[in-house]
Amino acid sequence: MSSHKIDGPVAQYVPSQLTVNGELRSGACEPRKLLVDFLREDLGLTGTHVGCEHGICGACTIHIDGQAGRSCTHLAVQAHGCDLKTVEGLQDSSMLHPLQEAFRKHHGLQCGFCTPGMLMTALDFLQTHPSPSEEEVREAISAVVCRCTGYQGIVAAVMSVANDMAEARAKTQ
Amino acid sequence: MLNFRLAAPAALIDLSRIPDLAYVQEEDGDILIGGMTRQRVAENSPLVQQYLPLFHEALKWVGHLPTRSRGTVGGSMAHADPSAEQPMALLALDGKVVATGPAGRIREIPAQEFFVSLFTTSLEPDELLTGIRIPKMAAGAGYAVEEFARRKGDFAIVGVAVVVQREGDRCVSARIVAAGVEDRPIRLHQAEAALVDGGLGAQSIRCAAIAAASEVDPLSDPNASADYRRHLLTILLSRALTRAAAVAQNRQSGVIAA
Repeated sequence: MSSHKIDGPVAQYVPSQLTVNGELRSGACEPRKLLVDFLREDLGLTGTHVGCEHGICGACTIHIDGQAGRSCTHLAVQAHGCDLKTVEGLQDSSMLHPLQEAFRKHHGLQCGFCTPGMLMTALDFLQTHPSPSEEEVREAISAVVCRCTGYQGIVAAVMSVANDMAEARAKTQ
Repeated sequence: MLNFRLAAPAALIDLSRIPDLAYVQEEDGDILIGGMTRQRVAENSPLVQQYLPLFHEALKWVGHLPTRSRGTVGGSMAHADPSAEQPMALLALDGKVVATGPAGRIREIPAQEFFVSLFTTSLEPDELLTGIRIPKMAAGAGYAVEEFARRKGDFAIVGVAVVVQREGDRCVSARIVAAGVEDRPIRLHQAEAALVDGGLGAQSIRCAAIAAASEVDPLSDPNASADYRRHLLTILLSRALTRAAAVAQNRQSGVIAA
């Protein structure tokens, strides 16, 4: 029997250099590796969670060049040169981000699996919709599936941050 | 496609590093949108909002903020999901797909001919979808998009997009397109004819919605039976036409539609 030759590309490692939470990071991975797996396995940033792996559940949501996006429907090599922000980048030294504080205060999480995606989605939403209605908040967070809270605490948390932002704006005017 | 194991290509080319493929611009009476234009960019484009308000409304139904940040207009057209909003809107607005082939050969394919079947388009293997071209909507046209999905942002079980041109209570032209009903977005000619014959009153709208349900041959799948899709089509089309008739009236009398 003749030896079998496997056609097709042999696994190669492709270098990627990107900015994550303000730091220049680099790594090398197979071209087929998902961005979320690269963040978790190669860069050790396990705050971002992997859920459905096809863009539906939203647990893996991060910011890519300033906008929320799914890191499970991106290949790591596509992020070369990009500026990423993950949930680890929310905290400022020892201070939790106001959204994180609000999630804690309003019981916006139980098991915590969806929380990184919820936070990154809510952050992008509030940056682009500074005075949202509760209905708009509900629609925005429908981008992320939570199976514990019934969403009530999450809506309350996002609304409280929106109200704080409005108050802060009123003070500076 | 990859994560669903629907496609297993030997090689992938990332187009996102070609800035020339992302744009929204005016040309003659048309709006051109580049294939790699992110859905979120198209949604926020003043040109789209002003001249293609139906496309703008359709984009609000597409996925969620985090998916619209990265999802592209061209990607959705080429994917040709029969439930998707953007192909439905392209057909409702009588738009074309711009395909570029070897040696810069350019072909403009009307939406009617582009969407062939489930995930199947008339794009040739050596062509790239480089953009879409949509004629600007008439200033007084009424329009509406309605859909039903289990969760806002999911693919529609049934969606409709309508454009009507009214003169008083008369309807001088109508384009009605449904998604999620057959294997591609489809125009509902009998419903359109019912409106042109009967005008934009409640009775005529009811007739058009009933005509629509009888002229389709819906898919039946675990999401919804054929009968249920017909039922949804009737309800959604009634709502959309009622709203479009009001929008036309408001736009003609100079009131900005909400």
